Amino acid sequence: MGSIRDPGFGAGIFRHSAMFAAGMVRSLITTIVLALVWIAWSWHFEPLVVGFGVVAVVLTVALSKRMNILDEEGEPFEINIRLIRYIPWLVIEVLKANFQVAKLILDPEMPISPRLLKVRANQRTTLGQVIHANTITLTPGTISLDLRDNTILVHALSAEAQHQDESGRVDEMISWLESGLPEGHEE
Amino acid sequence: MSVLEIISAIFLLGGAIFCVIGGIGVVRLPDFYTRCHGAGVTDTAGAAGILVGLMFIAQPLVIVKLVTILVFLWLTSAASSHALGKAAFASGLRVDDEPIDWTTGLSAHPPAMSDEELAAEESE
Amino acid sequence: MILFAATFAILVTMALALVRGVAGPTVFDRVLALNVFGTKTVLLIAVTGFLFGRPDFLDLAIVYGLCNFVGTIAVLRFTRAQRDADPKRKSLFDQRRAKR
Repeated sequence: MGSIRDPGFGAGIFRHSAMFAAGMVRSLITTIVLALVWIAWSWHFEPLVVGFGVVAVVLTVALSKRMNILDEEGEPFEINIRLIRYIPWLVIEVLKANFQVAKLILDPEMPISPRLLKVRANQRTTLGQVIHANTITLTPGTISLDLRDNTILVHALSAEAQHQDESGRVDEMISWLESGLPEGHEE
Repeated sequence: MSVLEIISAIFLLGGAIFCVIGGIGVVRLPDFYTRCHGAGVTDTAGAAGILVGLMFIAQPLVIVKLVTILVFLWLTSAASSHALGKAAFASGLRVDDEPIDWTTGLSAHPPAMSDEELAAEESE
Repeated sequence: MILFAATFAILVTMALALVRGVAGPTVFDRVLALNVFGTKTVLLIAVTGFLFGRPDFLDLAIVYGLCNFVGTIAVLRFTRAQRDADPKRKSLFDQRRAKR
């Protein structure tokens, strides 16, 4: 991970305890989500089945904790609330792109003009850049091929798809989405 | 037919149409990278239409499972198309502005990264 | 009725994916066809579950979807290793390395 700046002993202690608290919140949210998933899948309330569920959930959370994958990339609870705005936006974007691509495919002459382009990812964190690249991939008509040096290499099917990515609307939205993440985790 | 069934039928029909359109795209588009876009249509709009259509005629508990399948499909389709595209690009499959030879899938045109770009990268 | 139509459309899509899988021409086209086929299988299981009045099939659909994703990634790793092992076919990375 990147730079964890330590301005002094006291600040270090404070920072450590704050990170510890965030870690506890992450474990708690993961436990709740896993328990809800277990209940939704089994929908049995005999003591034995519920006991299996408790053991499974506790083991999963403990092992994830031990593997250090319950960090701000594994369970970014800070941006969960912002997903409420992001997901409808994503669905609308994907639907619009779907209609464009469907029109291109069904056209008898198929007026496609494939091209490669580089899209700047201005996100602060790795997580934000990955979300940006995945958003581009999920939108039909554009696929992200590579991500390095804050730049996403994109294969676009048509000029329309190109303008959609180069307009920077996606970039703005993802930057807003990741702005909830705490400072100090930049790459 | 109740209102819910009619809404469900509309969604199912839309999803089915997008599925077939994507399938046509996978067969009809000229080279590998463009076919990925056709696969994207079936994976996003087709899956979403059919699963949302099923949600309108399902029990509450089943709706949760349908939503989970939808979320999984969207996440994994993005990840696997990126993995496919990256693997193809890394192994040197050409990206062209003009259509590619149907029989080989490869073409003799210059690589995706032109010589100027290579030279610029080397001088850095 | 509409469920029958949806099943039919999914089967048509699977057939089209098979056409692409057989036609090739590159190995990536085949993996792409495999991926599309797998996604459509998930949808087919879900729709037939409703068609036969047994929504329990959805559990199978979830498991199949996850297996399909892992399978695609696994096949991709295999093809990459095989391609790099083929001396006649230099990858873009090799070309760039040779130029340096």
